[in-house]
Amino acid sequence: MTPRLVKTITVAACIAVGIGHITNASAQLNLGSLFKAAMPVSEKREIKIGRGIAANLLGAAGPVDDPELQIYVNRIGKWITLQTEKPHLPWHFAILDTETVNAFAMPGGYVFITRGLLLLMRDESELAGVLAHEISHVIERHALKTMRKGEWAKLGGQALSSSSDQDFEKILNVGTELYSRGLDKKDEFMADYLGATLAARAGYDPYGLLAVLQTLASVNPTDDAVALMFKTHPPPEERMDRLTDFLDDKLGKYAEQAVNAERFARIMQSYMKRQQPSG
Amino acid sequence: MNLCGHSGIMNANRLLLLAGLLVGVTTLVQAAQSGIMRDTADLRAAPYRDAKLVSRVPKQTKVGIIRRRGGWLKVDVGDHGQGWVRLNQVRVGSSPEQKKSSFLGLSTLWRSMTTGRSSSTGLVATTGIRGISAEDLKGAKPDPAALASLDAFAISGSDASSHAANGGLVAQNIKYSEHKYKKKKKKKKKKKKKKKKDKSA
Repeated sequence: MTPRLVKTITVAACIAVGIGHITNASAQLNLGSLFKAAMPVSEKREIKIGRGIAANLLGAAGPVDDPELQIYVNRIGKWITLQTEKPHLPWHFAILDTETVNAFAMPGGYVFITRGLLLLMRDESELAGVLAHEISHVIERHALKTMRKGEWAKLGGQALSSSSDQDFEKILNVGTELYSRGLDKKDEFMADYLGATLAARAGYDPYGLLAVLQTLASVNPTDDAVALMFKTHPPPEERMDRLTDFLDDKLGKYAEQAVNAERFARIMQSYMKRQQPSG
Repeated sequence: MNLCGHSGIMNANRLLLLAGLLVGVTTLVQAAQSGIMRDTADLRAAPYRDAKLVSRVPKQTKVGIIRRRGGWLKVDVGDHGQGWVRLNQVRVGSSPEQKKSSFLGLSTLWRSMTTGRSSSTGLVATTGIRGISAEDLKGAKPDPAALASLDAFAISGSDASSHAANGGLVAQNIKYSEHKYKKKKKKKKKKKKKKKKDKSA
């Protein structure tokens, strides 16, 4: 039954019992909201939503206080975004000061990696792989997509394209909660494939992301530090198996590209030296 | 540096840390990693599927990880010699399955470093306390100042490009192929499922 037919029948029924005027108005309101839910979210709004969610995440863990490290991560992240179809987004990358092992992509171009995850990495191709995975979530608008789907649609979908401040507040709450529930599992696999492709485009060995997944598959899943990451992503073993197939099939010939282990080690070494107690 | 009142273990950690920073993180991380075979696997003479078979390495064998090349790891298997196995056949770390740690590589070094700090100053370490659990996200208050502080690290395209060039990175023209990949997978499914109407929204 089409919505229009439903409306017609509703209106007819209402007139029959004599309360047509009021009910008809509310039916129209509902249809109006449904229409809004299907409206595309403008890029401007996407960026605004992303900034709001990013501020919330930073409330849970702030950025590492080390400009050199932050600039390094931004240089690599930005370089990868230059290989995408959305280099113009206001891209920001940051290492968050927490032992938690995780990474986050906010709509509009904010990408966070935790210190816990960074310290598990062995070279720049691994860092590039994780950044590219997150960048792919942003490019594909996976977070927004999840927010308007299924049960999320009821909570935040309608408000996504609304312009009221109250609705915006609601979006940020729902949006932030999304990061404790996770995206669609299919989108995680997709971001692995796209991320590996972007890393290869940027001149890196695309197997770097696979190497990170290998590490993640090696840590104890019951550890608090990885609890949220494991809850919100498919098992790393499964991601590894799928990504191995994809890489061997599509990107095998780029395996000899740069890993930049020396540059990565140099940056990490000086960062850790600065973190050392002085006396 | 005041080392008085420290346990021997702590001293050892501190020394390991200092040694690590002196020798260089690269050497320390790459030399220190060991692994365990996830499954019984072929050890090959080179990182290729059709390379000469060196040996068959049984499941649970401890290996030393020498280096990675693409989707392959060069490993030292003691009596079996050295050779290449697929990356996903090896678990990093040397502890048994039930006692796996979340601290590997540089993470271990960091941990001993920060533990050393908290102990030497008599204060609780200030880093790593705030985490990002589902609970933390629920209670998080927005931090607009922290958000604004990130603007200072935003990088221009030309800066990023020259940093890439310095690192020997050369951009490649590669088409996305995950869509094809998806279709290939879908085709298999289609045999089982009825065709659905095209949703070209």
